[in-house]
Amino acid sequence: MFFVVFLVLGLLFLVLLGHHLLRTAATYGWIEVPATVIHSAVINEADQENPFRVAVSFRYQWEGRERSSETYSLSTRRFDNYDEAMKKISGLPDGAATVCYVNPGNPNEAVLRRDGLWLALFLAIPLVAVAIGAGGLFFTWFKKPADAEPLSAPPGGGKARRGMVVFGAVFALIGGSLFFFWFLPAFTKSLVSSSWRETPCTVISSRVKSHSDDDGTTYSVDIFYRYAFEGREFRSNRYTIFGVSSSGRAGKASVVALYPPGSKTVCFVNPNDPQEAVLKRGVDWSISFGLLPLAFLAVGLGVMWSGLRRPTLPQPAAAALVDGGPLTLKPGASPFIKFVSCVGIAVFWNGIVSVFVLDLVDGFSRGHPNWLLSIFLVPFVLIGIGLLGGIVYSAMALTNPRCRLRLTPTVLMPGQRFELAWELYGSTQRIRRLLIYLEGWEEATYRRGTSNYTDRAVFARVPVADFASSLEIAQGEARGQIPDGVMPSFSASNNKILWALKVQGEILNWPDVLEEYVVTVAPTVGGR
Amino acid sequence: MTGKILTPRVAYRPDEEISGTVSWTAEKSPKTAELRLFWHTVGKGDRDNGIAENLIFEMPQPTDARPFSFRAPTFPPSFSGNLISLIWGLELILDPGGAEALELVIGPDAQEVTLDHPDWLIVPETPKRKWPWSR
Repeated sequence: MFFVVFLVLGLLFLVLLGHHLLRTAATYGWIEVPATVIHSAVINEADQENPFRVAVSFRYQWEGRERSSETYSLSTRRFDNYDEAMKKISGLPDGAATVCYVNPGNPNEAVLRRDGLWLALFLAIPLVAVAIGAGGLFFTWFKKPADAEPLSAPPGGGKARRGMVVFGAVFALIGGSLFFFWFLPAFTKSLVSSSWRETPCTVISSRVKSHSDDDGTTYSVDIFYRYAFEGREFRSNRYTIFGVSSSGRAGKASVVALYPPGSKTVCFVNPNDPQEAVLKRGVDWSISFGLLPLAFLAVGLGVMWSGLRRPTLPQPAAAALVDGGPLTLKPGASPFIKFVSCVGIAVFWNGIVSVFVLDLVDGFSRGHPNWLLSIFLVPFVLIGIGLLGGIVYSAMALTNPRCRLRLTPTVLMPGQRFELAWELYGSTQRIRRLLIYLEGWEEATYRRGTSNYTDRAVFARVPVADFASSLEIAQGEARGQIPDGVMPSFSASNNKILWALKVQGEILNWPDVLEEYVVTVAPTVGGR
Repeated sequence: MTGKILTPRVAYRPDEEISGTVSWTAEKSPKTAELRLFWHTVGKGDRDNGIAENLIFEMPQPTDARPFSFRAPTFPPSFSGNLISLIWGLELILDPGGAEALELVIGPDAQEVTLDHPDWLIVPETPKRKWPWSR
């Protein structure tokens, strides 16, 4: 089914685009003849998505008979920006002599300008879709069962990796093209527009323009104005260089309110091309939309890199190469990070739940209680309350004493003895008992559906220190030994063997001190 | 394809030589024939694997036999735990033709490391949480 959808959509797009390209290409075989412009104008059809339409009429001679046409080019010539439409008819004033292209098979058909063939570049998209669809169906129906995938083949298989490279390349190509051919020129123009000439102008019309599609409605500022520059009158509807639309109508309405029809204001005119003008010059926030193609480019390159990357053999811990000591260890996650994480999760969860709760409260206050929704929301609200409790708990833990550990030697190996020095700082007298132990565990990450899960199983736990006297708790030293024959640290993409020193300090009526210091256990010379 | 990987034994210490012979019989000459010394994980986590060494046989014939020799890597050793096991192996890959694998053990004393060992899991008496309402 997947390949059928690819094939059908690809063929449909290919036929539509191919038909358009063939018709356009045919005009390059049409005969060039002299023509005279009868009339040219840009028509403002405000109810259209792209309101500015190029309207021309011209006459020409064919085999001794005068004919006329109103076709500027084969494709519809509608524009969102007035200046783009005006550029099409610049040099084509009423009565101007020019050339047109006549279809020799139907001399009543003539165009003033031929469309470019650059759309042919986009043929690659439906062609790739057709190739994937047709290729997939062929291999599904006709190819003999594939040989079993070797155990040593990269997980996901070579085909999947090649697919990632192709998928990433398409992403990167689209993002890169948009970035270099759309964003960069507009960004450069935005920078240059700072030096455009300030010119008085009069607002002809102003409104908030709506753009509706399957994803919802977005809005843009649409202000049409006229201005005089070096003795000639021009019109423009550009507010900024980046004419992007986005959600949030109120912000656009407040801008439009500043430019009522008939009001006098100033615009900024490009002295090199007076047809170009903006009401707001320079770089503004809307430029951030232009960075989206960069995100596409980065994602595409990242996916390509993942597809091209070869899995590497896990190496013995680097620490094995550099012995020395002592080594000052850093905790895995500080209490502050834990607190910030708790706040982030609670805000996210409760933010979503509160929308429904507020709706529910509103219903109750209006006398229309929704009991079904109330019952449904109970577990979600309870989880939200639990998360708020987590914030309080982690905030309390912020005041806990912190621990500094120094390990000698830096290289831990199976069977080896080590020395550990600790120093607690902060209100250490609150700790009633301090426990330090070395723990080794397996960590397996697996995918179920669209989610990743990680399971842990502890296989070694060795006590290092256990003190209840406040003097010994504040600072001290202890010796320990890694059991002989244990598995050293190992790290692959989904499977790991990890070792850590864990510090646990009991505080009465308060969250405990709980800190984890990951250490590396290197293999011995014999490989263990 | 029928393929065979013959080695004098299947358990090795790190740095030991792993040598033997591979042979195969196929309908026609394979385009490529390769022998890999590799590891892979099995268990709860998604599969990881890696190739330590490989050997590409030149001009493979439909029926063929070739000698090989590898050096057993020092890391990672074969191991077995509750969630993860790491297995070393030799794999003959013919294209077209498929693959044939032989499981090996590479580890200290030519044995896999077993994670489950009662002496290693000394459970310290951890502090019990005491809140005012739990007294």
